[in-house]
Amino acid sequence: MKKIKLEDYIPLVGESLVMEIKLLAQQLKGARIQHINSTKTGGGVAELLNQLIPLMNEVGLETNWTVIEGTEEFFDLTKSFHVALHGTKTRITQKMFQFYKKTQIANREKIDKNADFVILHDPQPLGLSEFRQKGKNKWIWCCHIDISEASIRLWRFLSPLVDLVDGAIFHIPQFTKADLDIPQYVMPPFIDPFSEKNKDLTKVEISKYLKKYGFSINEQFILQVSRFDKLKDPLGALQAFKIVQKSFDIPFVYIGNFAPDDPPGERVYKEFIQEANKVPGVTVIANPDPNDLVVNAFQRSASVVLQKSIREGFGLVVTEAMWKKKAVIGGNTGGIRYQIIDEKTGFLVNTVEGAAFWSRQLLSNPKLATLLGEQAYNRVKSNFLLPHYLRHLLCVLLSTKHPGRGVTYLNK
Amino acid sequence: MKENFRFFTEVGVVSWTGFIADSLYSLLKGLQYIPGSSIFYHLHHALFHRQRINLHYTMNDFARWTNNTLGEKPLAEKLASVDPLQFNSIRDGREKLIRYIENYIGEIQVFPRVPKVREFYFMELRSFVIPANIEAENLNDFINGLQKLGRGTMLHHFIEARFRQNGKYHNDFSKWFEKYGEKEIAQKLDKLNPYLYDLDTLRKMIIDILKEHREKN
Repeated sequence: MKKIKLEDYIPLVGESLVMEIKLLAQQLKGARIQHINSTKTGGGVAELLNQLIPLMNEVGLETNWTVIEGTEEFFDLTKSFHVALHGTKTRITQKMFQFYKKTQIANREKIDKNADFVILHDPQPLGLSEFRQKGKNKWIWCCHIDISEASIRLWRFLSPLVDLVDGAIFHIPQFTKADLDIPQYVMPPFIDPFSEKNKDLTKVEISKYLKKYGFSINEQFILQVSRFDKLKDPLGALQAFKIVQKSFDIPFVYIGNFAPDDPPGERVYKEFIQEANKVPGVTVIANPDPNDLVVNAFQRSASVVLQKSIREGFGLVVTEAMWKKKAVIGGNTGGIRYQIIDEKTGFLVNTVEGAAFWSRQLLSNPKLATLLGEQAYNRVKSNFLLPHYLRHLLCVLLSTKHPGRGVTYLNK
Repeated sequence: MKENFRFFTEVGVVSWTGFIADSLYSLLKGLQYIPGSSIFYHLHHALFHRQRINLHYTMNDFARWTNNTLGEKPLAEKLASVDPLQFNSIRDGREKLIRYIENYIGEIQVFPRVPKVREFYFMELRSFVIPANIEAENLNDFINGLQKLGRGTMLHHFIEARFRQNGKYHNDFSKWFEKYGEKEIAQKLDKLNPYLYDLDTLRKMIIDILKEHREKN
């Protein structure tokens, strides 16, 4: 596969944005940057780093990526942290806190002592902030999840660790935390238009992946792509489909993933399958292969895309569908609210009935679907692509280097 | 000696000020206490929306929230009318916004609060002004430079310039053209109201004016 360069994004984001990235990078010239997270593969953060780091290196920033190590117990407890940070009631014990700290100690040698900037992603490596050498370099914490309703007990444990860094990054303003003493930056995440999940596909390629699961390119269908997770409301999407089915003879496709070590995901999957089997016209695709290309093909071919979430982080799956010129019908929550301009780039819904109502409108009015889809594409193109994120991230790095507010002149 | 025009660009990231409004009353309180940079950001944020697909996005953020979330349309109209062209400092803008809300509130004692997800977050832009490494010696260079540059350049030279300088002209471009005898261009550019367009449209309009002048001469 051809290596993607920053210049390749110019037709999408414009020359001036690429120029700004280069100018910002010049201001940081020679800086050494270390990203730290907890996994090299799987999950949104690994995907983000895989796409971001080559471009950071290309613009002259010596950027490396370190993964912390931990036992099964550690990753189990960070899973519990994740759930509790999302606001779901979970048992968090003192023992977990101790084990978390123990794992951070075991990973302290992984900190790059020569790095000018250390960027921690999500809560797993956050405790490394206790081992920073103050004044030597700048540290940033990127929070990729919605922690607005986080468990108070857990947040009391984590927030002092956040306050040890120089700045935190959140995806939308509603995810920020009032009790932090450090600057809180807000920047949306991104999709990469050249990734397998988002790149253009030919009709032949789309047909190939649809056919694999029994569909053809001219067939209409309603789609939801989500993990098997109650917060994505798969049963709500199914209920909405049942209402739509009364007026339209159209199938419903649900594409989702669950890991073998994810018992709650498996439980939701089984419950969903049980219900889906009672409804004619439903196809459930679990763990498709190859995941990204199948999702890409189905998103491009869908007549209606649902994301009937009850709770959502930013919801990059919505961004992906918008990029494919789909007017997404999304739950009125989290980052979906931020992406979808109601009735302009899609529809924000609060109920099953709302999801069904707008599905029927889009199915009966393809011109409306095309217009909104075009506007959705433009919204992503202007705001949620990789170069937009890189520009913001470089500004955050500069902000930690030049603390203050408002405007700062550099090299005047 | 003739001095070239040096283009700069302004690039920034948004950060949260720590203030939130969940009612008309807390919007008023916020406006009294937030830093000027936040007032500036919310008055100008709409200029960055390339797609004016929702007309409410053409309003400043205070007016939009008052309209869309609080449903206080008469007040939203007044807040939307706050035109930065009419004042020379952010302090003037702040006072105008506060006055409108105070007058509207009058004797009201009870203020309905909006749910958490619909609160107004007072944000600000943390930005950096950087030389774009492009200079113009003449009209042609100027057009070429502007064609390569983007919103950050417009923000710095055309929007923020108004708050930096108290002179005959309100933007850096006009000042430079006047200095080199191009008074007509200087005046034409100064007449553009940047608050009626987004920054991309504004840039294109300026380029068109410059090209027209070049062809005429």
